[in-house]
Amino acid sequence: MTSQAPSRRHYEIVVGGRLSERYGAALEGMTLEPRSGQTMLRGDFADQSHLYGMLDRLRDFGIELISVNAVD
Amino acid sequence: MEGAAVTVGALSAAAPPTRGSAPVLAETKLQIPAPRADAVPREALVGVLIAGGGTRLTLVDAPPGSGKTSLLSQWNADPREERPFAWISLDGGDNDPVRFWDGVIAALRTVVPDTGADAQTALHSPGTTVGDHVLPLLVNELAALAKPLVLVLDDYHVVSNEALHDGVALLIERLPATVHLVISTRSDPALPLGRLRARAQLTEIRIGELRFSRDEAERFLNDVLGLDLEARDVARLQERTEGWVAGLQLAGLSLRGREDRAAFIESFAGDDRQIVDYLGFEVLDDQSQTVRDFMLRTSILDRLSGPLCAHVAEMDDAAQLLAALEHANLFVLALDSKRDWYRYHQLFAELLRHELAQAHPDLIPSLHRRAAEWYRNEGAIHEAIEHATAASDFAYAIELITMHWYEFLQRGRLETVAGWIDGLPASTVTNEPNLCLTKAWLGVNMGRLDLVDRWLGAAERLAAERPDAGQLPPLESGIASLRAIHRYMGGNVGAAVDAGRHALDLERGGPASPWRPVGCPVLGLALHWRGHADDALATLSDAARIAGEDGNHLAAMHASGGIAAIVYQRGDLEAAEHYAAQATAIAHEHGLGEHWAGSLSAAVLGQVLDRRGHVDEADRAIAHAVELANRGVALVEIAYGLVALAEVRHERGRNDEAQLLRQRARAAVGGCADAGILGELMMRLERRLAVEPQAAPTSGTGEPLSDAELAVLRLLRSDLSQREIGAELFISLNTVKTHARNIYRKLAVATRADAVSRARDLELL
Repeated sequence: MTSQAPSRRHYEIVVGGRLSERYGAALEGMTLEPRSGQTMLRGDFADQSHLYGMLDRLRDFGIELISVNAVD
Repeated sequence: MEGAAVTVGALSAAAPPTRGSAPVLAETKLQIPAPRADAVPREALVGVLIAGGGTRLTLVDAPPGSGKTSLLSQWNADPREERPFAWISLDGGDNDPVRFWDGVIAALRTVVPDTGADAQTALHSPGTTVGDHVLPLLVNELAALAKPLVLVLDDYHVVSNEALHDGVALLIERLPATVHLVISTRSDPALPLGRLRARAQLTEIRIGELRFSRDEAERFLNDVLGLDLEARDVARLQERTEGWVAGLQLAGLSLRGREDRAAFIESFAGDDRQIVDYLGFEVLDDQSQTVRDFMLRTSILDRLSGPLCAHVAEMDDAAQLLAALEHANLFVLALDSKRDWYRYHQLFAELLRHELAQAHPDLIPSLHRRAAEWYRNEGAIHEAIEHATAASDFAYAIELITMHWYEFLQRGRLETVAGWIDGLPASTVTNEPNLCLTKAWLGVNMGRLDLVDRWLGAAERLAAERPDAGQLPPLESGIASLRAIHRYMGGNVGAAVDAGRHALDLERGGPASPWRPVGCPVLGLALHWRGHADDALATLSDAARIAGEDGNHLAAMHASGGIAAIVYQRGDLEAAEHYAAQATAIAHEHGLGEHWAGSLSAAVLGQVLDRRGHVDEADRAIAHAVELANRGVALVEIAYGLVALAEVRHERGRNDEAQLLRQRARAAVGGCADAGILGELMMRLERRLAVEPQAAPTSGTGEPLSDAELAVLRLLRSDLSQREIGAELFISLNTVKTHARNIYRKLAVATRADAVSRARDLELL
């Protein structure tokens, strides 16, 4: 596993459904960008554990995961 | 536990079967949630599950709110299913393997009382592993069940400890036909699912199967929630939610009491907002101020009871509110039939916690603090510490940890205690002498002498800076006792004597302290190896008495073993046998038979038997002593067992083995900074082995028996069944059969009795 990048990394996570600001506030540190029927979440992650933690959180909220991309 | 090194419980205390300090709370984990009387029946899926009983594992794997638990409870209640269910709802704390397997055994006991006693003893015995000791015992017992059962691990996604996945994978691999395992989870577990699938040993229920069909959606919305919707509206909701149960429930709750239903459904169906986002707040905002406040304030709790919620939310009518929430289908599930305990549906709990964090962030610490107080008063220390930490009330958490870590370690809950300390900021730990001492004690229990040294050093420095710090348990004598243990384990018996004497001086005249029964046996044993037999005898007699009074059975057993070793050294065989038997009796009575601290008494007993001419029994006892000693890290005790075993093997003409054992003993003695009288015992052995010629054992066909075969052969003399022999040697029944076949072949015999008699002729026994 290529975990633990030395510095913070920026990710774009696309999830199903539009998320309101009220709900999105639970996803700390992420910015929300609504698209048609989807939401793009953007944020910096300290390492892979941090990222996986966010993915678990999305799962626990019952949110559909569509894509995860690292952006350099 | 898996792969974990050794533990030094001997120097801690008894390890009785774990019992959560709050039995009521613990039992809710084992309750099978009763299906709601008005639940939508899922007969087809239950049929699949019943038929799947023929496979090894059923995986119910779907996102939260898909109706997993509800389906499983319907399965359990279905009259077509005859097998009883053993159920455990897992939570984050179950990542401690001791707690996890204790929980599994407790769940099994709800179906088969008293099952898993041996496995539990092994689980609590330091130095054993789940894979090599606990599971073989458990699996053997389950294989012998008169009636099959279903074991359910609910919420398995909380498991992140890889050792646990390994253990569960092994359990699946060896699962007898009498047990069908069910795992419910939100994501695929790290288990070899591909292999099971390929062998058709896996039944899977995933989100695709769990979705409500249009008929089921109609039943749910109209019958359960009483909405009386038209088919067209039901269809639209079913499509919009894709049959996701939690989504339908939220939609149904939003529709209740609404005039403009058609308009609401229209706008929901045409909207692309995330369902929980859209509807969750809708439902929440619809509640009265009282209900909303109650739900937000209690959302920090994993489990809810009337009294707990009353204390945390500061609302007297909490019990009535909980019942009302359940009745209104507001995502509150009863955990027991008496309806004492509930929990929020996890999806809704997330929403509530989030809303609490947004609306009243300032309230959160005080809510956790009140939860900590309540749990503490109920004696649920683990929950109290978790909430104190969540409240960032580290002083309170430290106070609780300092007062209670010892009793948790006594019950083998290493990882739980380690988890508490890891939850605190690092700077807090390094500044708190009692926590440093706890870290050092954890090091002792993990066999990591380097960690012991580091944390003991830190505790000593802090204690010197702040002489008044920490009274429970007494810091000074704790440090000295641990230092004595550290030196004893590391093989410096002279230095251990000094530290042990210092510890005892500090204890004298003070109040009763848990360190007294810990420090006393170590000092006595160190004195013995140092050659101060009289002092050692007096100290160990004291130690045995104090430990007995204190209920510290491990310390009592260890002290009796030490006394046996001293009187044996003096040539008093009868007294040696008496004290060794006393230690064995303590071991039997308190389930400590697999603990390494029993090594000393087993080695003495073996030597007594040897002197009386019972060579076979002697060999067996001492071989067992060596096996036990290797689970600990006390070098002198390992060396002592090896020397004794080398002597017996030598006497039996198995000189190659004796030489090998001599080398291992030499290495152990060489690793000691001060091995005391063991140096002389070692030299005596070497003189003996250098003189006499060797004779290797042969068998009927001339082909020698392997060590494993010899071990089985020794037990073939007994009246143990092959299954029992397997349990004794921690090997599977099949392995015993293979060894037995090889033994018969090599001895050219056809029956067990002939094998034993032939082996006697050949002096293999």
